[in-house]
Amino acid sequence: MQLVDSYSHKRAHGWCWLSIVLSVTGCGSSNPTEPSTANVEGRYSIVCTTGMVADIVTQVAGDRAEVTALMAEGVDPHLYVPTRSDVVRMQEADIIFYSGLRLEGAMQKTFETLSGNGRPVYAVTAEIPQNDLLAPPNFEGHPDPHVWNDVKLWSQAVAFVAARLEAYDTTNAEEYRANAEAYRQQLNALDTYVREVIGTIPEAQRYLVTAHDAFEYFSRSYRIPVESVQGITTESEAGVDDINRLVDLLVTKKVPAIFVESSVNAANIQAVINGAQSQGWAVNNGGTLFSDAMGAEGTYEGTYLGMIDHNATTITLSLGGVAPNNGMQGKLNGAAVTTNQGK
Amino acid sequence: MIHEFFQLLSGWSSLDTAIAGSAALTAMSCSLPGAWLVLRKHSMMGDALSHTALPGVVLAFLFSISMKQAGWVSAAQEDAFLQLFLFVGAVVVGVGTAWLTEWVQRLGRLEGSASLGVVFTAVFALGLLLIRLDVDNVHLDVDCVLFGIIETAALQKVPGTSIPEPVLVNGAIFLANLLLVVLFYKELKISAFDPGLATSLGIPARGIHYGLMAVTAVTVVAAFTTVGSILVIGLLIIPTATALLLSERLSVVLALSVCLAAISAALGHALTLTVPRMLFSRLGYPTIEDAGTAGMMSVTAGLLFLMALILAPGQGLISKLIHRLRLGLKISGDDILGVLFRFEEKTAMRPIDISVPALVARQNGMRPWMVSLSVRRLLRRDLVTRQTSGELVLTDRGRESAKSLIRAHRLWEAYMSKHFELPDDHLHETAHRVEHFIDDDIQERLQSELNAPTKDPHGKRIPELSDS
Amino acid sequence: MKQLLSGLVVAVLGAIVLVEAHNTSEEGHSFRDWPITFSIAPQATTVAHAPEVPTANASPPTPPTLLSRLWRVLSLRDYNTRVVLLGTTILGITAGIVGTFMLLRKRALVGDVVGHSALPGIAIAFLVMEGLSPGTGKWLPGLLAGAFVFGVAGAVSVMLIEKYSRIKPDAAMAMTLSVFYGLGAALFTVVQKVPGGNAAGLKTYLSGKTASLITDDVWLFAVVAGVVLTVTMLLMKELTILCFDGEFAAADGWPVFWLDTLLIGLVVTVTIIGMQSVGLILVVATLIIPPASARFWTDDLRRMTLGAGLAGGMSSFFGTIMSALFPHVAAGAVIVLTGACLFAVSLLFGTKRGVLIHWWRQRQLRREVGRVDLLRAAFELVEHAVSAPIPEFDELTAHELSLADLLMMRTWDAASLQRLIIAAVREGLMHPTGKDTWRLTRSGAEEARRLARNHRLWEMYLMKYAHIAPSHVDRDADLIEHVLDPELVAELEYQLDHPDDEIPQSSHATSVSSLE
Repeated sequence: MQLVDSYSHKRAHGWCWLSIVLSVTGCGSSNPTEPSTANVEGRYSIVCTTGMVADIVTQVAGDRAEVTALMAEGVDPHLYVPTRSDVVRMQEADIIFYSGLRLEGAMQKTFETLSGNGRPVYAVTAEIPQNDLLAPPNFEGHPDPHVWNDVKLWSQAVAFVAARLEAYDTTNAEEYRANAEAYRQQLNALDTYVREVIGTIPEAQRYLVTAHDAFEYFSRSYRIPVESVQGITTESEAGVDDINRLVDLLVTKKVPAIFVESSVNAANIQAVINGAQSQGWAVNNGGTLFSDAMGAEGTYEGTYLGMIDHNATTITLSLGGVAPNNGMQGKLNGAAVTTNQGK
Repeated sequence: MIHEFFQLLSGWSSLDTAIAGSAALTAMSCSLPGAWLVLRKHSMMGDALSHTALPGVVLAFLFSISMKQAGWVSAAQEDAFLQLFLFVGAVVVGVGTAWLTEWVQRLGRLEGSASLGVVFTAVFALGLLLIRLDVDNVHLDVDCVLFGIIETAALQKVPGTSIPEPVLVNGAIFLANLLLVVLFYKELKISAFDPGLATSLGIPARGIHYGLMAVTAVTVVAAFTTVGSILVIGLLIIPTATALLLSERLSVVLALSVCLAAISAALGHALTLTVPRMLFSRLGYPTIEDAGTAGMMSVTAGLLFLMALILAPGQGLISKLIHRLRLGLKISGDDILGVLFRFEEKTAMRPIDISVPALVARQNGMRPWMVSLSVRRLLRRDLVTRQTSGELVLTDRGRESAKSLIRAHRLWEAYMSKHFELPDDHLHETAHRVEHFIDDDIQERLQSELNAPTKDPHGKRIPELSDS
Repeated sequence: MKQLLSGLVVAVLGAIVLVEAHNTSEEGHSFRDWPITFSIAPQATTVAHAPEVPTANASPPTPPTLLSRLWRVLSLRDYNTRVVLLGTTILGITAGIVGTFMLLRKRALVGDVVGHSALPGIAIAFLVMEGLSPGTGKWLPGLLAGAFVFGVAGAVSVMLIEKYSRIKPDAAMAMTLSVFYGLGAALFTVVQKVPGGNAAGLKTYLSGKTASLITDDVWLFAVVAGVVLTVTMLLMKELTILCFDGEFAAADGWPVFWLDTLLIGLVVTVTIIGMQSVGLILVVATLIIPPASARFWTDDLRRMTLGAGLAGGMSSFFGTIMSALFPHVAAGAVIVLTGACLFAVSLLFGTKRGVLIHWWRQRQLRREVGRVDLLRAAFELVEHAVSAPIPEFDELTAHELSLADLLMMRTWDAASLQRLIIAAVREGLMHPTGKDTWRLTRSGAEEARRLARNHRLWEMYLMKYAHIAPSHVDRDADLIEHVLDPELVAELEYQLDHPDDEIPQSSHATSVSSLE
C-alpha cells in the first residue's frame, strides 16, 4: 500500500485525531470559491442528483450542457447509495447541482469534499430564506427538505440555478436568463392551477392523508392539512393509537380518500381504510402520489410539472374537488385516480 | 470474456486504489476483534451493533439539540458537534449493548447468540420508540446520518496529502488493535478458551471480555462511520471463519484472517469493476456499470470461504472426500484379500452365485464401483490375478499381505475375548472393523501379550508371518 | 399438552370469528356515542408563514380520562386495535413456539439471518419481473416468492456450513447473513439504476408496520399458527430428542437433517410472513425473547414451548394495549420492549434457572455443607477426646467445644466458623457455655451422630464396592454425603449389612490401625 508512507505511520495517531477534527469542523462551512470561468467551449457537463433538480437544470441550460441525473426515476433520494461510477461522474462533472437540506443523506459529505476541491457544487435550495423553510419546533437546524412540493418555493431554485449558470458561462448568460424566465412562467401557471383546484375541495373534507410524511410544504402552500401514517424516517412506525386517531379523523370529517406514495407499499394505508370501513365510512384509496421521486422518464409524470400536476389533480379529484380529468395541460392519462388497493 | 474482464479491469484508477485501500485497512482493523468474536461465539455482534446504532444516533441528536437550546453550542458549530455526538452516541450504545450481552449471558447462563438477540432487539426497539416519540419530523436514518459509503469516503483526503482519510483513521485503529493483541495475546487466548483456567492464573477473564467488547464496539462503529455497515458486518467474521478452515493454530488464524480481509477487499473491488457490467449487459441492462463495492466485497469474502470449504487441505470437502475414498479402497482391497485367503484356507465355502467383489461390496455396504476400483488396484499391484474363468486368486505377494491381515483380525479377536468377556459371536464385527489399522508393531505386541496364541477364539488358526 | 395446544387453536379461530362478527355488526351504523378527541395538529410541525392553514382541531370536548381510554382499548371497539391485538398475539404465540426449538438448536438469531437473506431475493425478483414486463416490478406475490426462496437459501446455508465444517452455528449465521446481505446491497445499487423501474422504497417494501395490520394478515397468521401447532404436536417426541441430544439422535439413525429442514422451513415461513406484515425486528425479537424467558422457568421442552408461546402472546397483547393507549408509541417497538421486560423478570425470578433462585440455592447449599461440616467436626472432636471408639450420647452433649479446637478440625477461617456456629445455635443444635465455648444440645448430638454415621457408611461403601483407596474415600464421601437421603442410607445399610443404629468406625482409623 503506497498510500501510507512511513511518515504517516509514525504519526498516525496524531493525524487520526487531527483528521477527525478537521473533517468534523469542515462540515459546517460550505462556501466554495466562486469559479470565474468566463468562456466555456462546447457543451459542458452538469451532474444533478434528483430528477427534480435535473429538470430545472435541463430547462435552464437548454442544449448548452449535458445534464445527467444520478438517481433514476423512482429512486428514494434519502437512501440512494452512490456507486463508483457515480463518484467518477461527479469527479468529471463541470458543475454539480443537488437538492440540499440533507435530502441526499449520506452523500452530503461528498458534495462538501468535492466543493472543497474548487469544483462548483451547489445546493439548489441554498438561497431559500430560512423563514420560508419548514422546520419542526426544537429542530430549527433541520428543515424539511421536500421543498419541491411548494411550487412557488421551488421556483426560487430556478433563479438560483440560472444565476449560477450565468456566472459559469457568461457568454450565454442571456439565454439562461430567458430560459429561466420561461420556466418560471410555467411554474407560476402550475402554482395557480394547484391553488385553484385544491381550493375547490369542500373545506370540511379537505384533508390530505398519506402513508409517509412528505407533503408539509404542499399543505402549507395550498392550504390542505396533512396527516401521515408514519413519520419521515424509514424506520419510523405508527402506534395503534395513532392509527385509531387517523381513522376517527377520516370518519368524523368524512374525508373521501387517502393516498399512497409511489415509494411506499400500499398495504400501509389499507389498515386505515379498513378501520374507517368498520365504522361505516367508505374511504377510497385515492391513488399514488409522487413524493420523493418523479414518474418514469419520457412520460409527462417524469417531469416536475407533470409530477406536481399529477399530485394536485389526483388529490383534488379523489377528495371531491373539481379539476380537469387530464390535468392542467391535458397531458395526464385520464383520471389519475388509479386505485391500487389490497396487498 | 476473459479479455473483456481484463479490459474492464484496466480502467482501474487512483480512485479505485483509494477505495480498495480504504476498504482493506478497515477490513483489517475489523478482522482482529472479529477473530475473538468468532472464538467467543459472538459472531452476530457486528449485525447487532449496526442495529443498536439507531438509539445512539437518536439520543445523540436529542442531546445536541438540547445543547444548542441551552446556548452551549452555536448554530454554526452545531453540525460539527452533531457529527461528533452521533459517533460518540453510537459507540456508547454499542459498548453498552456488548456489555449488557456479556452480563445477561453470564447471569442468565444463556447461550451467547441468544443473549445477544435479546439485548440487541430490545435496544433497537428502544431506538424505534424514541424516533416515533421525539424526532418523527427529522430524517434520522442511520444510513444517512452516521454510516459512511466507501466509494465516497475514499474521496476525502487528509488535508494537504493524497492519503484518503479512511486509510489513516482505520489504519490507526488497525495498528492500535494489533498492538493490543500482541500485548495481551496470552491473556486473550487463555480467557477465550478456558476462562476458569484464566481466573486461576490470576488473569481477570471477565475484565478481558468486557475490554474486548469495548474495543470491538469502538472499532466497529468507527468502521461504520467511514465505510458503512455492509462491509463491516461481513469482513468482521468471514475472514476468520475462512482462516479457521485453513489452520488450527491461533496465531496463524489471526494472521491469515488479517490477510484474507485485505484480499477480500481488494479482490472484491476488482470484481465490482468487472462482473456486474459483464453480467447485466448480457441480461439486457446495458446501463449498469458497476454495483455497490461494499456488498461485492462481502460476497467475495464469502466466495473465498466457499473455496476454502471445498479446497482446504485437511479440512476441505475435497480432501475429506479423497480421504474417504482412500479408506474405502483400502478396506475393500483388504477385504477382498481376506475373503480370498479364507477360501484358500478352506474355512469358508466359496459361494457360486456371487463374485468376490460383489460379496465384499455387500458385506461392507459399499458401492460396486468402489470395489471394482480396488480390484483394479489389487491387480495392478500384483496382489491378485484373474484366472481365465474370471475368478480372482491370490498371488504369493497377495497371500503374504492377506496373511498379515488375517493374523491381525484373529489376534484382535483373541485379545478381545481374553479381556472383555464378549460373547464369541460379537468378536468378528469389531475385529473386522479394526483389522485394517493393526500394523506389524501392534501385532507383535498383541502376540506377546497373549503369549503367542495359535488359535483364535473360534478355533481358527492364526497364521504366522512367513519370514518370522 | 395436546389438549392445551388444540385449545389454543380453537381459541385463536374463535377470536378471529369474533372479530369478523364484530366488523359486520358495526357496519351500517356509525359510532357517535363517544366523545372522541384527537389532536390532529401536525405532530410537531409549526408552520412559519402560513397562519391561514385551517387547523384540524375540531373544538375538542374534555379529553377522556386514562380510565375511559383504557376501557375503549379493552372493549376492542376500534377495528385497528382488534386486528393488531389479535394478529400480534397469534404471531407472538407462533413465533415463541418455533423460537423455542431454534433457541435450543443454538440458532436463536436465525430469524435475523432469514430476514437479511431475503434482500437479494427481493432485488432479483424485482429485476426479473421488470425484465419480463416493465412496470410490474413491485408485484407483491413475486417479491414475496423471491424473499422466501432466498430466506430458505440463507437458512439452508447455515445448516450446510454447520454440517460440512467445524464453523460454529453463530459464525455460520453471521457469515450467511453478511454474504446474502452484501449481495442484496450490491443488487440494490443495480436496481436503483434500472431505467423505467420504480424502485423507490423497494428495500423497505416488504417491511410491514405493526400498527397497519389488516384482517387478511390475521388470517394468514392463523394459518401459519395452525401449521406450526400441528407440526409441533405431531413431532414433539422427535423434536425433543433433536433439541436436547442432536448428536445422539443422528447416531441413532434419526432423520436429523430433515427434522432440521422442517424446522427451518417453519422459521422461514414465520419470518417472511411476519416481516411483510409487522416488520422484521418484531419477528426476530419474538423468535428469541419469549423462549429465552421461558428457559428460566423450566427444563422440560413441552412446558418451555407452552411457556414461550404464552410469553410471546402476553408481550404482544400488553404491548399492543400500550400502543393503543398512548399516542406515538410505535406498536412493534413497544411489543419488543414488553417482551424484554418479561425477560428481565424471568431472568430474576425464574423458578428453574432464574438469578435469584440460583443464588438462593447456592446459599442454601453452602449453609447445609457448613452445618454438616460443623457437626461432624464436633463429633470427631469428641471422638478424639474420649478413648472409647464410638462416643456415647452423653459424652457428646457433655463435651465442651472450644473455637480453637474446632478451628483445627477443618480448613476454615475463624469468621466463617463463627457464622456457622451462630447459625447452629439459632437452630438449637448447640448452646453456648462461655466465651468461645459451646456444647452440643440433644438434637445437635443426634444430628451429629446421624451425619457421622452416614459419612462412614458411604466411605465403607465406596471402599468395598467401588475399590477406591482409603486415602481418596474421605473426599468423595464428603462430596456425596450432603445429598444422602434416608432411602439411600437405608439402602447403604442393607448393602453393608449394618445394624440400624451403630456407627461404623472411621475407615481412616481402621486402615491406619491395620497398617500398624
